[in-house]
Amino acid sequence: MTVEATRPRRDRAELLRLVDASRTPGWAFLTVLAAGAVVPFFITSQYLLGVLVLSLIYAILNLAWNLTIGISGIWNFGQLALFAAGGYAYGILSSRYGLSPWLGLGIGAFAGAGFGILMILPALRLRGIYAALLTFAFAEVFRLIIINDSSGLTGGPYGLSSVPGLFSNATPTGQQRGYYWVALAGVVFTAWVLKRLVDSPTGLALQALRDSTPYAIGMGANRRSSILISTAVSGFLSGLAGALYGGYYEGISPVVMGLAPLSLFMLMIVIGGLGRLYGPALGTFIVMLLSELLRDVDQWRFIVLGAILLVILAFQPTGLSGLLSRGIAALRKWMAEGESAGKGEPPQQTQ
Amino acid sequence: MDTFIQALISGLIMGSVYAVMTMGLTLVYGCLRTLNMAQGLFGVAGGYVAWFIVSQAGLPSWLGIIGAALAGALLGVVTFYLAVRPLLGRKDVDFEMLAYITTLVVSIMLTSAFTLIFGARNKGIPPLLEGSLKITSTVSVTWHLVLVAMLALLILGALSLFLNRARYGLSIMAVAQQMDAARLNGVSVQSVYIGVMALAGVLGGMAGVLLAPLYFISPTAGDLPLLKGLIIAIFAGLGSIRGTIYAALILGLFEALAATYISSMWSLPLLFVLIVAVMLIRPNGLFGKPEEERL
Repeated sequence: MTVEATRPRRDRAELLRLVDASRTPGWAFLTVLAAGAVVPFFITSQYLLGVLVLSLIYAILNLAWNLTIGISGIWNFGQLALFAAGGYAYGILSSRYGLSPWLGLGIGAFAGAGFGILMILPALRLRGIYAALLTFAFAEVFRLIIINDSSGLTGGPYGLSSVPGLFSNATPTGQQRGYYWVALAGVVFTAWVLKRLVDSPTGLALQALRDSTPYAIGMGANRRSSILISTAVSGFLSGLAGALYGGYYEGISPVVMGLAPLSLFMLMIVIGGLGRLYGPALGTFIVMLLSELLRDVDQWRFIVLGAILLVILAFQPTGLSGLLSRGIAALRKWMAEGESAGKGEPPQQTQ
Repeated sequence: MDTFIQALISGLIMGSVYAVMTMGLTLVYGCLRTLNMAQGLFGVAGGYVAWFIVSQAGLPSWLGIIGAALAGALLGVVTFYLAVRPLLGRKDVDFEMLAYITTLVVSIMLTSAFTLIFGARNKGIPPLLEGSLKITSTVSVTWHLVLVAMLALLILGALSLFLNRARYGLSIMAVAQQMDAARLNGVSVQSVYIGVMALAGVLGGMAGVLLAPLYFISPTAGDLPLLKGLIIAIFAGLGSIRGTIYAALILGLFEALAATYISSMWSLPLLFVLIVAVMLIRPNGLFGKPEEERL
């Protein structure tokens, strides 16, 4: 070992440490959050801000849905019923019973959790695909009951309208900004909850159950309680998203459910990265952006998005966020290899 | 009593159509372990083709049925290559879940394509036969429904002959029962996959023609039949052919009786409660067997 050979290795280690430091979530996260929080001051278009608010609300829903379908491997295709349950709980309580809209947000979230438990209880004993069918059928029946409801409670096929919003006294711009910040806070809250859950013993049990149920049970994971916790948390966050949606649009109707919205959210999650913690948020923004670009040719939207999904799945089943982290891993490997081969002369030395 | 008989008859007829429709789902799941969410759209395609042939071109209705079957078969093969083929044999994916998602995506792409081609408006096609058959003075069945029941029985009979006698049908059954053993005995699994998707398309397309005169054809008209098909498929136990027929008849009867004696609005929610009860007692459906995962 010559001295010349050991020196570049230390430089290499420093470079890698630098890359690792730039990837620590703390700083990057706070920077993104700060940038995200000031965005409304730079956007003058009401329409664009509205799209952003909707993207944030959908991001909450998709992150929450991914907890059950991606991270826990529960075949849950009834999530939109939980989203709608939150919206309807918010709408009914605040418009018919005069409840404070802010309290309505919380009650909407609990309604989502309650319906989530109701939905998953009969599916607890079932193997994958049967659970998928049962949850899907649950959501469809939920939707049909609301559409056929003639008692006036849910407004039937037309849904609820003139529901009080969260900021009824503010100017239109102020309202938009208010919803933007509330939804952003919702996304941050969701990401925090999910991160805490995934790193907890319950979260580890959920991932183990997804990867190998017999092994996980053998190691002492409790399948039923893990699934119930996962669905309840996911339903809570979806209900919150639904209540926010109801507040933002000052109404809710059965069109938020059904096959077309289900497929749209599915596209967002899978394009972003099924089973990856933050992937669905990435997918939400990409799909919303593409949807806006394809707004004038509305029927082509699903054809183009579907084709993108099929291509991505064929090459990278973990979606765009999987592609991203694979790229970063390849970059790190490339740098490490360059350094260990002694070829990696740091550019600042070549003056 | 008359209303009871009327409900019984229409329930059995609808049940037989549901059996034709769901058989496509069952066969594909049995061979490919794919829950084909595009099955409803095969029916819609069949309905549109029949509408074009019968109502637009003015050709006889038996041509419409054949055209619908061919269109369904074509879509089945297209769905296989778009949604299922890229996922087959991959170690790094949960095949069943991703295939469920990709077929769902194909179904929504097809819905958009049909809206682009035919527009969102409802299209109606005339019944295949006019008039109705009087059984007693108060109970009557339209000739169209009689024909529907006959055709459904004919299709199911031909299918049973094909699966149990024909060489190709036997290889489908062999793949569904034990894929490795079938492969060792010289069955080309890949061609069975394509064939079974085409067969599912044929069944879906024909069910679409039979149902189209009773309802209307629209790009989303396949959603409700798909939901009923899924309910029948879980009720029966996925992959069970005999179970599918029983479950379809039970569902048809249940629906007709619930619509007659309670209200058509509550028939689907009540059915859901019934299914949940069945699943709690038999988690693999009425006729399903607990199966190891495959592929």
